[in-house]
Amino acid sequence: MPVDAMEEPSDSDLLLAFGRGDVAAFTALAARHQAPLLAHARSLVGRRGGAEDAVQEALLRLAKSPPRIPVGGGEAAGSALSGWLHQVLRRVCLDTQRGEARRRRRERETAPIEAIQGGQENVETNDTRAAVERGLERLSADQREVIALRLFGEKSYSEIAAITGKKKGTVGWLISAGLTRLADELNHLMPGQEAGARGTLR
Amino acid sequence: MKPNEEVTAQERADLVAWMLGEAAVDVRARVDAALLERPALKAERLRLERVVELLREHARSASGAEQVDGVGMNALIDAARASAAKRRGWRRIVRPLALAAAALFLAGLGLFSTGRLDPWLGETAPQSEMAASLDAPADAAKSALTAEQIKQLWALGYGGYGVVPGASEPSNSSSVDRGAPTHKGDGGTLDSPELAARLAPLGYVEDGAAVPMSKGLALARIQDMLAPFNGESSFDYFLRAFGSRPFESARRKPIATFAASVDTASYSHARAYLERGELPPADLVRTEAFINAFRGSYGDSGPQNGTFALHLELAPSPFGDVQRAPWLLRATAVARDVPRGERTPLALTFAVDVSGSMAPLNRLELVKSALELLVEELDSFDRVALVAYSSVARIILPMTHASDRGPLLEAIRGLASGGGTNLEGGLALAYQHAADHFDPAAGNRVVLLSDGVGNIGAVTREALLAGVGAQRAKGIYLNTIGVGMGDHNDALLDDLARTGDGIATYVDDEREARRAFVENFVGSFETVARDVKLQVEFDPARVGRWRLLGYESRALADRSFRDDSVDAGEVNAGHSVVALFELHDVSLQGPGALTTFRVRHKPPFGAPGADAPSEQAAVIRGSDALSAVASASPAFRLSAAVAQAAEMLRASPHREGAHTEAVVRELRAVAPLLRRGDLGEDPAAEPLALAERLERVGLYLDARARRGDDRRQHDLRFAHWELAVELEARGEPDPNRIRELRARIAELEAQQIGAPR
Repeated sequence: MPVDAMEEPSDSDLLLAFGRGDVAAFTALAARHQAPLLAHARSLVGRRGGAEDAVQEALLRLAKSPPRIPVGGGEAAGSALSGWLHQVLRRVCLDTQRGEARRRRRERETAPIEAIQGGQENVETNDTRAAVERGLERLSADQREVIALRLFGEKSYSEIAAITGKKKGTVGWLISAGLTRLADELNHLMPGQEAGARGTLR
Repeated sequence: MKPNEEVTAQERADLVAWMLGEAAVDVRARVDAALLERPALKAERLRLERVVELLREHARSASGAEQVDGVGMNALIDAARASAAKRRGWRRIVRPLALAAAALFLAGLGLFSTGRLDPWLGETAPQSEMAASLDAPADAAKSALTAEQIKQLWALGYGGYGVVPGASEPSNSSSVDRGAPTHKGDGGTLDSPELAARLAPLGYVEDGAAVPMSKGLALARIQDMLAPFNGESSFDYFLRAFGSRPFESARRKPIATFAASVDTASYSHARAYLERGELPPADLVRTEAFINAFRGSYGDSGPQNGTFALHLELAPSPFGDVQRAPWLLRATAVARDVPRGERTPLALTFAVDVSGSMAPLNRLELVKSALELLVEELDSFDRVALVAYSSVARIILPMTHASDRGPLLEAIRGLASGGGTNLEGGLALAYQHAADHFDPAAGNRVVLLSDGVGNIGAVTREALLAGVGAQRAKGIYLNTIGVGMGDHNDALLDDLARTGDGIATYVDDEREARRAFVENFVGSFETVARDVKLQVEFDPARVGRWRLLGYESRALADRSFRDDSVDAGEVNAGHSVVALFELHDVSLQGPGALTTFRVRHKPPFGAPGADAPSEQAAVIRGSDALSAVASASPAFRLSAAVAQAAEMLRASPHREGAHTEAVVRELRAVAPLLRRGDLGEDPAAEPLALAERLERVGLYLDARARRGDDRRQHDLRFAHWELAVELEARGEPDPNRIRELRARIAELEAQQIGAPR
């Protein structure tokens, strides 16, 4: 079997290696988890509200005091670490919304605007993106968070429930309500409404 | 139309759960049924699926197109290091795939792509620039990517990623038909955005992401697309990839000629990877470096008199293609040792990097303890000076007799870090001081200790090397010691040491420092032979095919053996040079020498008759061959096992399908048989440690060996290299050999190149 057909090391493997002093294991973990974390952070603090800082802070806590996750738990141990990270991130985001990061955010927002630009070259894509962006902003914070966790972080309802401290049923309701709201907001992009609707739906 | 009017919130929640794979069996059945009956629900499903699709697209584009300013990976890594340092002691397991996967992941996300030197990923290239320059003409790459860049690129493990965007014609310009090389090295430095821009046209990125491909193919690709640039010597050009030596027919080519190599840096680097539980990049592994790294464990006996003792041993090979009943020939040249009391006095000037970067990971502390260890080893007739440099260079301790331990140790312990890295200034001051206190009766040497050379002051690398070369001509040698660099190979430190006729050593911890400075001390400074060349000649009547393991970069034309103007390897006191040959179709019958082994060298500078070369020879007969591996010497078995490990690690096509387990077993079997050396060190320690490290990566190593690299690429590269060596050597080229090599190259190039296997 060629190399590429082999399995990647699990979170618990990497965590174990890092526990033994292996820095590369940490970077691998950070790389693996940071995109969903970033999506989660953005759903909580907004695009320019210090999401990166929050992710960094969460990963920093992982670096400084890695949690004790049951070893050999396979899937469970893997999602345990992810859950732990998201919980930490959540606390960080809720804290930073009040404190120091708010000041930094203000500074950043008053600084010369460069972060706003990006991808101006593709107007069409940008329109859609901006619309989705706007739609997300109009959701309630709860809806935004669970949708980010489900669709950007690929977390299951149960995992989301564990991370957010909500009931699994509530998570389902929030997602459903959020998606419906988005469908209304993005009505012009819905099947049938779209100019030259793309035949992407099954 | 408002299709959701009829749909209740509960129905919608069930529908969403069903869409997202979260629905329980009963909910599933309910939704399935409802979808068939209710057009409104069906319409709602289409809407919600579209929303999910839009959100997923949004997530993808947010992470891909948008340049996120990263989440401060460097700070994280520092924190992780600090945290990990507490538990240092057994750094272990990470599987290599984690890194590969992570690297790909990062490259794809573009999250960390700020082009800085990341201690783990190596130089990361900005995706945007890579993508932006995809359309740049390939000529730009040809002209501007220097050999140095490519070397660094490979050292950084870039070779493993890339993609072939379409069949491209192999370069059929015979780049080797050029005149003699003008100079070695070039003035290039690694500039990552530029490098990235240059790389892009080579097809290393696709849709803004690096794509994995066989390393052999990636390398071949670069070589195909990059002609040697102006002034590049063939040595540098082919350093990009020498390939592997193929089996040669002894009837057509009965002689192997190569320069001695005692460099073990490749092994040190690879070991650093293995200690972390990763496989080193295949190109980093040089078989000869692996074999020679274990010279301390072989216990080969030195000469009674003369400079070298030559040994030949022939036994069935424990590895290789069993069908062909391979034999293994071990040719060893052991240099005389110099007893401590008789050695040349030393005048050492240490140039110590005390820049800010020496503070992390206790690098400076490691330097201090290394220096202290060294000072302990010195005798009263040796002298030491200490120069420290950061942004500026200054003399901490002028040339002092080593017997003055007090001031010496005080100076060492007082070193403190901070500031920039003015390598040029530090070296210049050290050289000047060494010259001021030059002792013609001593070994005058500057020893550079650094954590790698980030910035090199105002001068170019070329000028720096020229300066080192000039000092070398005046009789001042240069050793370099890389400190706390992990697996990071510093091409400049290597080149500086090579130019200064010294050794580049890398130490990561106290144990390695002890190994380098105490156990190996006299040898690391006392050259006993210069321009050492080796030649092995087979009797074509009794040996069918032969293959030299490793020594690709040391290849010499056969006629260069007695050309004493040819620069070859230096060998230090007590060091041995070991070469292994795999032989096929051997007949032990018949009289006379089956194999003749010759070594030619010049005495060290300053010795009487310094320019008078001498030659020694030894032969082995068929009747000397051993019948089984078990009866071979422990040194034979150990070197065979180590070579096997190296061949597997470099994915040698000759070792396709080899098993780690066999190597590990052999290492463990032979370890207890090794003879304890004169210095009392444990000869079994390193072999056993290697066995353990290999075992840990066994799964991955087996996979690499199973894959093997494309043999054609290895053969092609080595054929190109050998042709260049043959053409560029002084004297009349052997027309038969050249015809043969050209034919081989033509045949190999005719086969499709660049097609993934």
